Amino acid sequence: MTEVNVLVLDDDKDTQDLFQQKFRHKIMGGTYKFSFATCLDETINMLRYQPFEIFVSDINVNGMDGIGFISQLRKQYPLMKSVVISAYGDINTLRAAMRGGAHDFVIKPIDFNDFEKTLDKTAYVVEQLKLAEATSQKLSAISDELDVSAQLQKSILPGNSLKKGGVEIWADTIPAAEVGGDFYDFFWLSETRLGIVMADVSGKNVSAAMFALIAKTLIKSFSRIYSSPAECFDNVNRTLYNENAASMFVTAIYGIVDMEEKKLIYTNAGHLPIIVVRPGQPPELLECDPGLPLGISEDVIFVNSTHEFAPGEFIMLYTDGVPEAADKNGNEYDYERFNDVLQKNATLPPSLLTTALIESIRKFAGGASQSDDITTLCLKYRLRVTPNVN
Amino acid sequence: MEVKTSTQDGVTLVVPVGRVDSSTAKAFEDEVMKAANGNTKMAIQFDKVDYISSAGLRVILMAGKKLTAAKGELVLINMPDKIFSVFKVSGFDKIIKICPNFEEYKQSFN
Repeated sequence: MTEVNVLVLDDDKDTQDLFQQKFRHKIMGGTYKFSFATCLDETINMLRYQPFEIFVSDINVNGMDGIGFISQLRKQYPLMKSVVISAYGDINTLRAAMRGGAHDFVIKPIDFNDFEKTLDKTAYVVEQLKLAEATSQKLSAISDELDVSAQLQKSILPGNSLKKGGVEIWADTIPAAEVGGDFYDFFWLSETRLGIVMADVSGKNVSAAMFALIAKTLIKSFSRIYSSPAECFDNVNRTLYNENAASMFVTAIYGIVDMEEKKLIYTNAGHLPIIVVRPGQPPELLECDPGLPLGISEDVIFVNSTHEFAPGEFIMLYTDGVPEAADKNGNEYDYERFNDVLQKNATLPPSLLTTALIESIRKFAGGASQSDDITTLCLKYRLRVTPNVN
Repeated sequence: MEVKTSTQDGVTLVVPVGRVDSSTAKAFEDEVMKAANGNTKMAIQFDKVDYISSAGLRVILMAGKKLTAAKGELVLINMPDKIFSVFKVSGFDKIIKICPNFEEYKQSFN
């Protein structure tokens, strides 16, 4: 415990000597440090220039409204506690002082054993208050930091939508914690080639968000160097593996929509498979070699898979927060409900389709707290159907 | 979630019970890494696990790395289909040994 600063207001000069003498052991031992004031102005001045933990005051100092002053101090210095001294033994005065905000009281003539106990108890309360205050400040700082991280994370996402040359995308993420480990991305590689990414970092909060930032930046940078998604992931994986002491990893899909070939060329690093929905048909999982999540092992070789777009279809990339969204009893949303919503809303534009999906998950969860980030990217590619000329 | 740890036939047997998600992963990590300390043979039994998230997979990965570094081995046993599909879809079945049950695992080193 650090030294407790006590300010004593008493117009009797002898009090100073008495305090110094009675508390000499605790003063020498660094438990208490006493300062003295003999009038109100002096008190106010001292409080202004130095922090005190405890204020001891005679309730009956000449020409002063002791109770009023104590209640004013309580508002002004909420972490300082007041102990009043009353010569009266007058229960009404003491009751008024306590109601006005005094923490404790002693009766004159002072029994210094009792007074010491009172001071010790008050000092303990002040210490606890200070601890609580410090904890609350720390929490508020952490919460501010999380807000900044969440904003930063949101700001690195490319926005929700893209619409160009028949391609329409809507992507969204709902983090479970303040800062999530999911991310998505889409970016043009050329006039006719569009990169899309869906990823989920193991864990949540700031460490996951940092790892997500690194992974996202690496994927986008390497996508400009390596034109094959698999080759891009080979290099992202090796870089993440070499700079990864915390055994974190990220599951991800990276695909390139080739608008000349009307194909999606994609590679998968341990991520959930893409869903394809064609009108009038049950949704289909695009099975492919799932590789291993990025950052786990140096020796992974990623492979490309190809999907040919058909008229009217759309593809859905997502994280496990969708099928694994749980209700209060721990039942999971699962692919059955997921596919059902996709099929029922297949003709809607990606933004409305996503809204319908999120709404359906919310309804299913029924107020159960969200345990994982929910992230989706829906892409519709409106192909012009070439008329059959015979 | 709770984790029970015991030693059977020279193997450290870890039995997590409940959900291993991001809210319980830290406790799971502490228990698993404590159990992995100084051991070479460790089995994690999954039949009482309802759910495992990527945060849980990370713990498995760390334990696997630690045991491999100690020239030991981590084996996952009694895995329900639902949990196995999480390992399969993430490719984890390729890097961590999975055995049907403790008896078969024991035969592999006897």
